[in-house]
Amino acid sequence: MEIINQPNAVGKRFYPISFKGKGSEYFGIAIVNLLLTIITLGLYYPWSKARQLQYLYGTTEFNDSRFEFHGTGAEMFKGFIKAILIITVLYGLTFLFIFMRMPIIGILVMYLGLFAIIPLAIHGSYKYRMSRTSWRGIRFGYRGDRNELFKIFIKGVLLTIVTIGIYGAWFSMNLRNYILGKIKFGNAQFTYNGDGGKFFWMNVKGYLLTIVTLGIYAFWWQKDIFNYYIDNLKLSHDDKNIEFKSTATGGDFFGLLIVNFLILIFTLGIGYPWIVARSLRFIFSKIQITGDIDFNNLIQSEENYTDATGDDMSDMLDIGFVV
Amino acid sequence: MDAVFYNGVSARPIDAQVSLLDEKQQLLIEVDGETPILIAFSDIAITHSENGLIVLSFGKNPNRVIEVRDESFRSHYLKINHSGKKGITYFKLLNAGWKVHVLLALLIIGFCFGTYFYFIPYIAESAVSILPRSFDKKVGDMAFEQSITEEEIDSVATLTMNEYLKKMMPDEYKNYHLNVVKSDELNAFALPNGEIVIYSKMLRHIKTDDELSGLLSHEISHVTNRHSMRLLCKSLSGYLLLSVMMNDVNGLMTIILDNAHNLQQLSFSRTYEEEADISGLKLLEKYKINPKGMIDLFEILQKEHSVNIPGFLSTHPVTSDRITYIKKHIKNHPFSFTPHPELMQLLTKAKTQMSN
Ligand SMILES: [Zn+2]
Repeated sequence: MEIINQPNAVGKRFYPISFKGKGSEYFGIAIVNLLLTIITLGLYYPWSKARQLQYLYGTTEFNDSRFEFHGTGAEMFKGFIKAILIITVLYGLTFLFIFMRMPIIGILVMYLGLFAIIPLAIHGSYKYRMSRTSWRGIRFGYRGDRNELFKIFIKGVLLTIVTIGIYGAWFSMNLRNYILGKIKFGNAQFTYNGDGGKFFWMNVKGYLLTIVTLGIYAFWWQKDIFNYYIDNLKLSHDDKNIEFKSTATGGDFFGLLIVNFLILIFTLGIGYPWIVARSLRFIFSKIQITGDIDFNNLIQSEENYTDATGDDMSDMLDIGFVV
Repeated sequence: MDAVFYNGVSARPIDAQVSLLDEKQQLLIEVDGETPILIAFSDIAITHSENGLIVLSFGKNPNRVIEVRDESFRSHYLKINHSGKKGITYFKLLNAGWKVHVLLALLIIGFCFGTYFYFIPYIAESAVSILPRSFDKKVGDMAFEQSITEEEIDSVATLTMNEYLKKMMPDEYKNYHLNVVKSDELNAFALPNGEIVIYSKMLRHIKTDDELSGLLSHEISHVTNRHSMRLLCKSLSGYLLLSVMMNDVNGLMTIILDNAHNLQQLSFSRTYEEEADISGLKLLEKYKINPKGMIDLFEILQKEHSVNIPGFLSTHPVTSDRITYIKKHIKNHPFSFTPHPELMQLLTKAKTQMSN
């Protein structure tokens, strides 16, 4: 396994990354977990989620070692209960105001509550997910500050509303720059260098061309976004770095998404696990990692963090996880 | 057995030897120049397991990881591990093979279909009892407005028929209203708001007041038992489920109202028909009306069946089976009855009043 890690002529190495999971295996896992979730009237869900993440991480290989997911059903169950409580309280308050014939205040409480919960959920989610993810026993970590994220979020939402959506591109990049810039991999540090302006014009171009081409350009737009997410990511360790580069083309995305769509239709949705597996295989096969970090020198530096409330809350509010 | 060990402090791989102590339920990890680690199976988590590779981890801080790329080690470990937790049963279920998984998938699909086509409609039907009666009226009004136009109504015969209703059942008549509608269709139906529609052709086929009373008692029983509402909810249960999930009660009411015009085309099930027949018979008993009229009417309708496909029979299926159980019910619950010349008189009057 050390052969691949040998420096080449320019002193740069290639680091292989791939998804080794199989659709059929993931299908088995999804079915067994779905069955257990149905039998337990949904109570098994946190365990089911833990199991599925464990499989997806365990079949992703970086530099010849698999990722490890250490989150447990019990942790997620506790988070699940807390998340339900928080959302129930929010709903309860809303209905109380409506009951007291103050519906405007009730709805205001609802929206402000959700507004405040989302950044907290994102924060908690990253903290938990990163701490429970490891590679060769070395944990990831999220060192973001809750208030800081909150400020970015509030400012972003308000400016996006005021500018009728235009600021959305800058908001999205600010979030990404902040969150990814606070992620540690042992004592190595991620950075993301996204530019709101570039991202904005890329999306304007994608939007206009998609309309002109009656939707066909959507695949190339998707490629542009994906590549922008990957290409601006960097990992640094001491004075050494690795860089990420996407080799995906619009044609690749066209093939991936069309086939995914056909699988979904012809299996009546049962084929969803295959879609997940082949999408992950696609994504990781299109990421090229080069640099000069020696991962053998990676040192454990991140704390354990077992509160899954934020993660479950994100799940409930259906906030996508963006790494 | 060769393994790679990560000590939870650094990512540097360390060559190690692992052995399984079957009886003691322990794993022994040996690294050159270090004290061997002995760890109980019950303290080990299976982080990943696939053909030819097993990744185990133990300890909170440091969290140590052992990676063994050997299928015989993996299957042996899964077989002898009796710790009962850390997912042994789960992994066995996973390794049950694709046939079992496909079977489970089919089972789940079957379960979903069963829920969607039987359980949800059943719940929706039962849910009618929580809808207020005023809603039945709203739906009925809407349906009446959409299906009957002013000029179709034979207003003179209608007036006589309502007098008939008043004489026939003085306690209940206030909640109902009869309409004689000029039509070549052999049909009659009742709407949830108490509007009863009899087509002129049907009225012409009816010979005695007992037959007419039998028909009316049956139609009224559909209303009192809220059959249309139940059927409507049942057939719209898919939409109902959606609107409940989206917490949209107004949407639910709108969907029902949008479908109100279908009311007269809904075909009742045997259960509903039987229920309406039996409650109808009770009404006849109350007013001492000869129940034989109901049987006579159904026999007439059955004879007409071959010529009149659309109409009463399509919405109220009459089978010989049905006539048999009505006869049986009458035999088991006999009651006294008297002739009602005043009703017969009104029926004759209405029939002569009908323009053509
Ligand atoms: Zn009927």
